[in-house]
Amino acid sequence: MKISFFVILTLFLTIMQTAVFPDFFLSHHSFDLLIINIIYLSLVFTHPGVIIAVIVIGCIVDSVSGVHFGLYLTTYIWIYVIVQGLKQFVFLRNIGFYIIIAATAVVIESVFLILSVFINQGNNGVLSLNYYLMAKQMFWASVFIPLALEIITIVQKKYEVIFTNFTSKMKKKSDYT
Amino acid sequence: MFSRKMLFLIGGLLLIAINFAVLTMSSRESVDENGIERVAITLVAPFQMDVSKSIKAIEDVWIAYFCVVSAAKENVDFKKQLANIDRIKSRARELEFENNRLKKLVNFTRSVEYSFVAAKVIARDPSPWFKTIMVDKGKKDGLSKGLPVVVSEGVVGHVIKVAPNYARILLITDRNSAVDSLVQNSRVRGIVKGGSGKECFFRYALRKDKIQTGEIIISSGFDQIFPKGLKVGEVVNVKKEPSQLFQKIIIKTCVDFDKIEEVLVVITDNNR
Repeated sequence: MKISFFVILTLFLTIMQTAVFPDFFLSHHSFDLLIINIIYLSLVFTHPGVIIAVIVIGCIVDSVSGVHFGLYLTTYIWIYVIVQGLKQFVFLRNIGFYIIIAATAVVIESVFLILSVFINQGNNGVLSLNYYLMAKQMFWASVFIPLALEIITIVQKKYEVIFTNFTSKMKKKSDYT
Repeated sequence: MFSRKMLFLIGGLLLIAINFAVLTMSSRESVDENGIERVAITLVAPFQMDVSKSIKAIEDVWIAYFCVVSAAKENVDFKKQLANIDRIKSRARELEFENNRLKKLVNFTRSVEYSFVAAKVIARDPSPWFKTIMVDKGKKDGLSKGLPVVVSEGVVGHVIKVAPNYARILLITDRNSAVDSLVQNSRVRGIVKGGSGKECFFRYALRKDKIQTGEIIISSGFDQIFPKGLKVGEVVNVKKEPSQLFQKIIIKTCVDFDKIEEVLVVITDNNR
């Protein structure tokens, strides 16, 4: 049930980011939406199997992006590890914690991207615009990621109720037949 | 003298005769209305009028109600029809735009000697740091890595990843892209490189070369990827610094990459 929810969520966020958002003006300021998924997975679950989900999401985004394969994968694993580490010390429902995590995740991703550009093209490739973009993404992530995390929590609860009802109905039907 | 039976018979006949006589006279209007009739009419007629008016009013309300009900139903139907017409109109407009774009592409393909595979843009890069697009054609349609991608306005980019049904295209505005190019008038050679924004840079043009704003940059064909003579962009800013060997030239691409919806992948002889 939880796996199906995260498969749907990953697909939804990927489609939003690659096919819907680019048609709007805000796409230039938009942060990586899949970060929301990674943070949520890292916050909610402690099972080590979650790392496989993080790797799968990283591979998907690496495949649909023009970056060198492995960049998003590495970023997501680092975000996962850092959130797992931080959540040991902080009260999880703290909004301030969400904001810090969101901004940190964007910084981690941007650092890896800048590093990748730097390795390929040297210092000339890393323009001041990149830092400005990072700052904008940090701002938007700090605003929207905590909100998105709250929404996902609510939606997941509703989804679980619907899913349980549906499966019990199907089970009854199959028992009857 | 008369029996009882006879009397009843005569009475009955007399009554019938009088009745006929009265009916005959009244039907010929030969008898004036009498006072009783007038009184009766005066008494009854107002009620008759009121009742008939009431019936008429009820009838009118009834008819009006049904009219309103049917009008409401019609209104819903008309609204649906109008929405449908709007949808058709919007679709027609969309088709008209698409038709214009495809016409341009068809005219363009006729004007050059290469063969093309037309593809639709289905997604863009999830990261604003990189400029790539995904198209709905892949290996099955004859696409392979390195093929140039163009539209009627000019160069779009080249194929970097190919799946059976999809391909990823690196746009010329991406920082990892490079197109060997020429200034159309002066034939000054340089490399068009992507930046971090929408603009591109025309690199390695010597300081002594005369390049002015507004000049058109075309592909040189020397990179073995892009066919020669395709439009790349237009010079918008030229900066010459005394300490630098090369000029700093910013160009605006001919293609608006935010609005691109269909592209043509050029199938070159090397890839056939």
